[in-house]
Amino acid sequence: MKPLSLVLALLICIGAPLTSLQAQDGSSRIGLGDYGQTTVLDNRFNPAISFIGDMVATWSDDEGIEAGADGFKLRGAEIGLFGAVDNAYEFHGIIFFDDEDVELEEAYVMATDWLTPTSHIKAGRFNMDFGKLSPIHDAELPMMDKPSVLQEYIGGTLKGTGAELHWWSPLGDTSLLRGSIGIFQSADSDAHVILGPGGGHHHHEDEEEEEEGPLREAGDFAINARLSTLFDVTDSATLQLGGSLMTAPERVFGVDEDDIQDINRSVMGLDLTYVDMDESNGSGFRFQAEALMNDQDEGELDDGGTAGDPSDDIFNVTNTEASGFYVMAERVMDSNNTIGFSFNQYEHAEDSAEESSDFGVFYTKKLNEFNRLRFEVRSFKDLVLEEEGVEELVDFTAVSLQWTVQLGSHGHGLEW
Amino acid sequence: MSRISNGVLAILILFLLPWPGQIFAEDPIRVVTTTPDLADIVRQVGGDRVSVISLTNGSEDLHNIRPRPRLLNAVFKADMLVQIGLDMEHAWLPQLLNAARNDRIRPGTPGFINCSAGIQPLDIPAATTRKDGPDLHLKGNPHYNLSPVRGRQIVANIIEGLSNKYPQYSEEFKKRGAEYLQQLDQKISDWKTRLAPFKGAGFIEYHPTWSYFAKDFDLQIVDRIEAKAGVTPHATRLAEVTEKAQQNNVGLIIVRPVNQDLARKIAANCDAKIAILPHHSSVKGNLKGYIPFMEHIVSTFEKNLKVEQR
Repeated sequence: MKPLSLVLALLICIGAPLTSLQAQDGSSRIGLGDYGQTTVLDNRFNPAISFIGDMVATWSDDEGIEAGADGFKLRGAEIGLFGAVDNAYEFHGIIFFDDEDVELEEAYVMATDWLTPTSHIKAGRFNMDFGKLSPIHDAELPMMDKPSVLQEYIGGTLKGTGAELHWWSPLGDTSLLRGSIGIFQSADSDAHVILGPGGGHHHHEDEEEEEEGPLREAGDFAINARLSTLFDVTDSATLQLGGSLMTAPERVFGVDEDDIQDINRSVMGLDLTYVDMDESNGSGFRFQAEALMNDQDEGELDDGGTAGDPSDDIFNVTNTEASGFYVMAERVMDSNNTIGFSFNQYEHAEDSAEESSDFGVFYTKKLNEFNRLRFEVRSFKDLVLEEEGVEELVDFTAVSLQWTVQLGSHGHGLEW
Repeated sequence: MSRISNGVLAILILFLLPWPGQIFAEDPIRVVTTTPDLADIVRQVGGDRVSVISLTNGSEDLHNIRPRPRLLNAVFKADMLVQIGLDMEHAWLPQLLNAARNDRIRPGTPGFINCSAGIQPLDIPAATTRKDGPDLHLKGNPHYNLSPVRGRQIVANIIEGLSNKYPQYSEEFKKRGAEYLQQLDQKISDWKTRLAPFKGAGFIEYHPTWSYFAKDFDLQIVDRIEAKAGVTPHATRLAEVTEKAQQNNVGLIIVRPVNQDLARKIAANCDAKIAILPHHSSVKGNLKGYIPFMEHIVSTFEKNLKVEQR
């Protein structure tokens, strides 16, 4: 009888919790059965998660080695978290990792029903709505790196902490007008560049040691604005024309704390995009061009020849206006294979008498939607290299292989 | 009254005459559908009460739709949205809905009709991992529109959806819907008779697409060229499919235009014909309308399937 009693006891032990669960299922009392959180670790309202890994191998000729072009690099890994806070607010967060750093790339709340149905407000830290390729993340680019002209004038991507209002309106049935305006604490630059004027390191102006300056006034915030129109010119083709303006005033102490100087920076951009795609087989082509005009002040304290004597110090402000552009074209052969080229030419932001250019061709092989290989050859002319404060202009050609993988949540939105 | 005053009055009357008609005329219900099949059925059920726009023209790969101004404006202005569902439009429709922020057609409201309601999905994957293919449809095969039997459910869903949102026209929608269902039933009966001699006949498809159609007409999908959804088949896979086609005496390989080169490689080594068939009806031409489209599909199978394979 003893083993039988033991088996019976075991069966009762196993059956007891099941019976209580069944009782809960059938309960008509709110709070006991169908309703109520059953655990503090309930997972159902977690945000959508995405992961992007971006690996690059680059080989170059001799001068490219000086530019830090050669070798295998983990450009970065991005984790994205997206979710609805409630019925009217969304939260987007993107965390970036590479060999050395972890940084919060974007984190913002989006309010979707404050104003008109076709407007929303973003608040937090995020990529500013400037031009076509600046706001998008590196792994989504049609080529390996942000175009050199963007690297030179805005560090690849304009980023800021602040708020931005976005709005769009239909124009008839096949066109629309879109605008945005934002106000930011400052205009920062952020890119994870392999090759180009921002290459070899992360370009974070915001991480540079901030010099002590005068108290911020109302007009000292960075402003960014964009207006663009999109037209469906045929059933398969869309033309977009856009203009962007970013201005970042800054006030600094000149020769002393009573001498307050304005150091301003503004960038204006015009862009044109034409896309024609046959959606039955995924083939088509894309042409895109952006022209940027950069206007920036540089302030430098001149000790007037008498070191240690502040009475003859002069604070010199010099202004440089420079411009540049890129053009790119892509032939999408089918949904898996794309070839393209891009050309950049730009005057240097700090010395418009000097000019650099580069030309690259690239082939992108999408193994599928989540797995992509890219082969790129790019030739640089007069790229500025800085070694211990001494500038040098170098020409070189680099061959790169990029492998990008993506996991989790993603979508194909409008190309604003 | 001077001649000038009379003239002005006459012109004013001429201008005002059309107004009462315009003021009292009701605007049609603006319905946006994701495919031309759904657009046609909405037109059949809604009649003059609806003005319908299809977001696609029938030739596209529905996973590759590029959200663009025409689509966004249509979604923004719509009173109702009709979709296939089962994640068929998941790559682009949620983005359009998110950008348009049109509360009238938000999922869960009476302005949103998900035509997959009431459809028992086939081909639901056993495992939810992309190791089984990057283009896996976790909710099952979304190509139920290729089954005329399930087309009846689409019609029923559209009648119900339109009637829920506009109860004042409900009787009209139900009457029109019943008439259309009668036409469809007659055609289904005709199609079943024509394909009955081919019961059990096999064919090869590229991607999991024709399961519902095969079930309607007791046909057999012998193999799929794509071993895993979204993975381009290699030479070894093509050889395997060719061997299976030979063993089963397959007479028909069904592909979309984009996959016909791979199908040719198989057909070159077996006695099978290649049929290039769209997955949806068209917005214009011979394949405009759900019934003419299904007629084309049935005719293609009828002409190419092998009777002796039974």
